[in-house]
Amino acid sequence: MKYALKRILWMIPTFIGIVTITFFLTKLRPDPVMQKMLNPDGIKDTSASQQYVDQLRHYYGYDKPLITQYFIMWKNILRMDFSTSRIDHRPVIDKIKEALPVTLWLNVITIFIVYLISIPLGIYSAINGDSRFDRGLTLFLYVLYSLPTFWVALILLKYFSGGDYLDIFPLTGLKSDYFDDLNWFQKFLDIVWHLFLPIVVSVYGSFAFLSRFVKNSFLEALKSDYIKTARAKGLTERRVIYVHAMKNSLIPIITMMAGLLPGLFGGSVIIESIFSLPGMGKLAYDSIYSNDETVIIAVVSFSALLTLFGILISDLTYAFVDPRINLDQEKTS
Amino acid sequence: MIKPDLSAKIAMSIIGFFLAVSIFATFLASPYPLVVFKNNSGLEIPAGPFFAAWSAKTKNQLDKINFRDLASKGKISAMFTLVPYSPYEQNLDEILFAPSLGRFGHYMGTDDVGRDIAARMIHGARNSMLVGMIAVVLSLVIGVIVGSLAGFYGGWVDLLISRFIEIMITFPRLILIMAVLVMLKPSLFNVMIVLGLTQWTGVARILRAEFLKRKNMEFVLASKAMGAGSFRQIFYHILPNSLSPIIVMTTFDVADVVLTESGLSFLGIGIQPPDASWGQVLNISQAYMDFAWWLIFFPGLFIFSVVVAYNLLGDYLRKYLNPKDR
Repeated sequence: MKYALKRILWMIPTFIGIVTITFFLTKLRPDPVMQKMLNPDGIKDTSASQQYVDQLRHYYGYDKPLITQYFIMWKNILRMDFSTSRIDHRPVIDKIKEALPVTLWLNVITIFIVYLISIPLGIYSAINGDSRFDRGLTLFLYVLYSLPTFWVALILLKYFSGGDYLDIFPLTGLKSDYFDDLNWFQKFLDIVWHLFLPIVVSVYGSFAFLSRFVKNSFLEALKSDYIKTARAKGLTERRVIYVHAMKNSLIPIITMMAGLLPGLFGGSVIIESIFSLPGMGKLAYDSIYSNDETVIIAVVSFSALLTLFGILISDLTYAFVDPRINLDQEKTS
Repeated sequence: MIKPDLSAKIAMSIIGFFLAVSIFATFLASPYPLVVFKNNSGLEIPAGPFFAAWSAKTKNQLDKINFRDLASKGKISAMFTLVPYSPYEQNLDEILFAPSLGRFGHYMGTDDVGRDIAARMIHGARNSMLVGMIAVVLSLVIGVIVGSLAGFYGGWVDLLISRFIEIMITFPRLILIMAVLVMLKPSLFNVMIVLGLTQWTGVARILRAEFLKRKNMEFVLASKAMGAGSFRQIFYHILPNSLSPIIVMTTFDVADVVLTESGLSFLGIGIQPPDASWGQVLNISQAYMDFAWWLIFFPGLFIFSVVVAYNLLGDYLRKYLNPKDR
C-alpha cells in the first residue's frame, strides 16, 4: 500500500514536467490569433485593425505575462476545464471524448492480440530450444518488426480497399454512412470491419519484442529449482511446463505492457492519419498543425495520464503477484 | 566467439551497400556525364573524367546544357552515371512515368512533377544514412553523459535525471517531435537534431543501470584507491566495461531513427522537398495510390531493407557481445 502511494506521488512531477514542456512548446510559436492575422506568406494582413487583434488577444488571455498564462492553464487543468478549441471553437473536452475511445479501443485490441499470439510463440521457441524453426521464426519476426507501418498500410489500402484490386475493406474512417440505421450487433460488425486493417498494421510489429521476452523469461523459469523439484516429483512434462513454469514466467510479461503503451500512443499518430480514424493521434496531428494550443495541451495531458496509469497498474500488478520484489527500493529503470 | 551467421552477413552487406550508395551518390545519379569522349556540339564542355562533379564553379553553365539530349542526338559521345538524372530536376512532360529501362530511361519511374525516382532514391539514401548517423551520435553523446552522471553520482543527481528520463519516456515521442519540428520549420538539419535530442533515453537508462552495477566493483575501487578521480573512473574504467550493451542499443537506435525520419517525411514534417527522402516519395504516392505502384514499392523496400539490416545486425551483436544471451 505504501508502495502504491509512493508510485502515485512520483507520477505527479512527471505529469507536471510533461505539461510544462508542452505549454512552452506551444508558446514558442506565434499564438493562433496572431497567426490568423498573417497571410500564408507571413506578411501581416493590414485589413484587421490593431484594435481588433488586441481585443481578441485580450479575450484569449494572450496579453498576460507568460507565467500568469502558465498558472491559468494549471488552474484550468485541475478543474478539468480545457476551454474551447482555438480553431473551431468546440469545447476541447468534447473533442477528447470523441477521440479517446477510438485510440483506446485500437490500443486495447492491439495489445490483446499481441499478447495472444506472442505468448504461445515465445513458449514454443523456449521449449524447442535452438532449432532451425526457432531461428527462422526469430528472423521472420524481425523482418515483420522492421516493416514500416506506413508502407504496409499503403499497400494494404491499395490491394484490399477498392481501386483496381480487391474491395474488401473500407478505405478510411471509423463508421459507415448508414451507421445510425444499424442495430447494435451490426454496429459492432461495422466498427470491426473498419478497424480491421488499422489493427493488422499496428499489431504485427510488436511480436518480435514480446515473444523474445516471453522466451527469455520462460527459459529463466525452466532453469530454476522448483522446476527440478516438479520433475523429480514425477509430474508429466506437460504439467511442469504449462502449470509450474508458465505461472512464474508470465509475471515479468505483465510489466511489458507498460513498455508497449507509450509506443502505441505515438504510433497511432501515423496509423490514424493514414486510415483517417478520428482518434487521439489524428487530433494531435491536426492540432499541432493548426497550432490549436488548448487541444494540444489536452491531448498531451490525457495521453500522458493514460500512459502513466498504464505503467502504474502494471507495476502494481507486478508487485502484487510477485512478493519477492523489494517494494521500498526504487527500481532501476 | 561465434561466427557471423547468414543473417548478420546479409545485414552487413545491405548496410555497406547503402553506405556506399550514399557516399557515391553524386557519381551514381547526376545529369552530367562522367566522361565526355567526343564533342561535336560546338558547345564549350570541359573535358576529363568526373568533371561535372568536381567543377562546382561551372555548375550554373552546365545546368543550361541538356547532356542527355545532346547524347541522344549524337552530338556528343559520353559516359553517363548509372542514373543520368538529377534528383531535383523537374520535367513536366514526364509526369508519373512508369519504370522503363534502356538508355535515359526512368528505372524507377517518375513522380508527380517528373522527377526521376531512382535519382531521388539514391540521394534519399544519403539523407537517410546521414540522419541515422548524426542523430544517433548526438543521442549517444547525451545518453552517455546523462546516464553515467546519474549512475555514478547517485543521490539527487540521479533522482533529477531519472525523473527527466521518465518524462521523456512517458511523453508521446512522435507528438513531441512533431510539435518541435512544426515550430522550427522542418528541414534535414532540424530533423537530425530533434531526433537526436529525443532518442537518448535508451542509452542513458542502460548506462545508468550499468554504472549502478559496476561502480562498487573491485576494479573500480582499486583504481579509486590508487587515486583516480571521478573522470578517470568514469571514462577509463567503468565506461569501457559497459560498452557492449551500448553498442547493441546504438545499432537498434539507428534503425529506429531511420524509421522515424521516413515516418516524419511521410507525414510531411520531415525532410522537405526539394531535398530527397524515401518517406517523402511515399507521401507523394498517397495521391496516386491506385496506379502508381512504383511510388509505393521502391521507397518502402529501401526503408525496409535499411531498417531490417540494422535490426538484424543489432540482434547479432547482442548474441555476439553477450554470451549469456546466446
